[in-house]
Amino acid sequence: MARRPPARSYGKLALLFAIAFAILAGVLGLLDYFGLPADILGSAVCGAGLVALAAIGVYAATMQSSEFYLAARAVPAAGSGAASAASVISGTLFIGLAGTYFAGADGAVAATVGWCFGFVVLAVGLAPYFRKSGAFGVVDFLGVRYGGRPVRIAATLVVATALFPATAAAFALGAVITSNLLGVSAAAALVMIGVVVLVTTALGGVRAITRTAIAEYIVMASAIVVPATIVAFHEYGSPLPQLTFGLALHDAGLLALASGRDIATFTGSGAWSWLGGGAFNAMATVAVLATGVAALPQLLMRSATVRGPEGARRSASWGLLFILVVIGVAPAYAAFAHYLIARDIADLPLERLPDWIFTFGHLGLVKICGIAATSVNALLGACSSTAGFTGNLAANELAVSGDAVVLAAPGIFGLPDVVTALVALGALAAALAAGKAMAFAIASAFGHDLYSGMTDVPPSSGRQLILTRLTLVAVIVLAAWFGGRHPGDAIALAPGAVAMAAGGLFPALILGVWWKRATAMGALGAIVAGGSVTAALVLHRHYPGFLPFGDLRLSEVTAGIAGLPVGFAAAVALSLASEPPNAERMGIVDAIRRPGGTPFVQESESL
Amino acid sequence: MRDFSEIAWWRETRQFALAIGVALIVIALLPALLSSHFGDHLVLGMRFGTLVGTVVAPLAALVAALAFTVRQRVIDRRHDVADE
Repeated sequence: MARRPPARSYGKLALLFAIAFAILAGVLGLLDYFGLPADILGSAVCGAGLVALAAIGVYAATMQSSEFYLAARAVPAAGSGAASAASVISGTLFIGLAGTYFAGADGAVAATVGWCFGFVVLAVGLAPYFRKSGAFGVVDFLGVRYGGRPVRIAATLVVATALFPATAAAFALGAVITSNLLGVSAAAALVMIGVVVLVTTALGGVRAITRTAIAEYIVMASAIVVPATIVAFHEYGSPLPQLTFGLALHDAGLLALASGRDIATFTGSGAWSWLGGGAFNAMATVAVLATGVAALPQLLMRSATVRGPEGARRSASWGLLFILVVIGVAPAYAAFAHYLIARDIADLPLERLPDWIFTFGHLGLVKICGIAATSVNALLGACSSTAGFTGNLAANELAVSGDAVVLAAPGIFGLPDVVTALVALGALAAALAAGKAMAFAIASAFGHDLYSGMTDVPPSSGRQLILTRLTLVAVIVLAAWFGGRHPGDAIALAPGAVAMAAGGLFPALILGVWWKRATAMGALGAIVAGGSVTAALVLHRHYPGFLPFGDLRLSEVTAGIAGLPVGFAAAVALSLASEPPNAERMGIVDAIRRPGGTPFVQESESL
Repeated sequence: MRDFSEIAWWRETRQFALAIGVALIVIALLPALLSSHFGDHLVLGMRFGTLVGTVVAPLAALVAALAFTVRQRVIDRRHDVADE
């Protein structure tokens, strides 16, 4: 096995990257101040970001399997936590959560709570035991705990089914952002995203993914926290947007009261259309996210990279802290946008509307007088036919989509163009981090976890590395194709990843640790039944008529609330109906539970 | 389990994990309960349920995770099963 690199190397990397990022932002800020055009700023920010990530990926290249699959199990808990947060935030969460708060808080509150609870369930119920088992991934863990090839095959299929649409969605979103920043075609942007993801995964595996994910977390956290902090301080004298956004809501309400009407219509995020209102939806969202996030393969995989069970617990806690930093400001974005649109845009002459309205109008995300806000002339033509038109923006004629809130926020907040470019880079970093982690989780499930469990004689680590890399190439090409060809389907199906993890993986995982009587038959039943029910309901939601029922009022996420009990019921019933686990299997469970001692899966030798 | 100490360790670990699980359920229910009882009562400009859901519950989850991490380490050491 390769010598473990010192954990502080990750800290050094994070510090160096943060300093370089701050210098880049400062230099571009100065150039912006001296009049550098916004499109050149965007190209510079995006180009620098992609090149930096690719460079980190190449620098982290390795031919050692322990480094490729496990980063030599030497990642410090904080670094692993940052990488964990980056791998689950994703572009849709980065952009969509604030947009959902923008249209109404109840569903978004449930999503926030569910996401946070997922990390607690991970820390308490799964991560330390997963790490102790020594398993490489979810499929490997289930194979070690239960034994038998059918469990590995079923789990691999669930992992691929769950993560593929979300991977494609990450590619699609990344391509849209890159295309807008660099001014290249969507196809070219997709190829660039694919190449960057390939370079940052296939060469260095988890080692490269971890290092780039830490860098991506720094970018996305800075990009989302700094603008909200500036506005909170400027408007309310406090640098804590989490505690001042209520005041902005209050002020927006007063403005609406004073003028007798709302200035704008706010619609929810398209990517988060799965969030519904009502108590059942809220509870189902919390339950599915809390269990599904804990069972996400790309997240559990991170637990394998830390030094021991204690590190896995601390990694999950750090992950929760880091994800809170990002999603904690989402409601502030929504509230500040509400207030500042009402205060600064109301009754403005159409000729003096700010640039962000037309930028996002071209994407169909901002409408005025019923048409996309693409130009002043088009708006004058559309609004002149409305009753009482004065040449100014009339009440209720502005409609802003929740998908525009985060990316348009710097414009709404009156911040410089460089901040707009950096926020877009943050969204790109979030999409890339999630896409890489999920693509690798799928490839590792096939190339390592399934392959190693399908032969009586363990295959060589070299063969596993080759197969994993080939699978990775295939996953990236297919995800780029699907994301480019069917971006709407990919983004709509992406939230189903959490539901599939909850319904298809969580029962077998949690019972594997906490119920010794759980058998391979029970686990297989849980994975197949829970995964099938959840997948069918997700597809029924997206393709009405897939099942012979009407609208079941279950979204792509809350579909997991049906898969969870089915999975648990199948696990318990089939476990009790089959022979109890033998002494050897019981011994494996004991060893997985006990923090000290030798893990069951040893790291492979170097190639 | 190999001996009495490990059995006691696992029992304590299980009880502690269960307590965290119950705490999470209570925290999850709080926003809904508080919203229905306090209606449109505003704190820092936010409805009570929104405040709990966006600020208090996530922080409570963080405290629960940190407390678990520290406390579990103590339990592991007390029963001599820690990963040293």
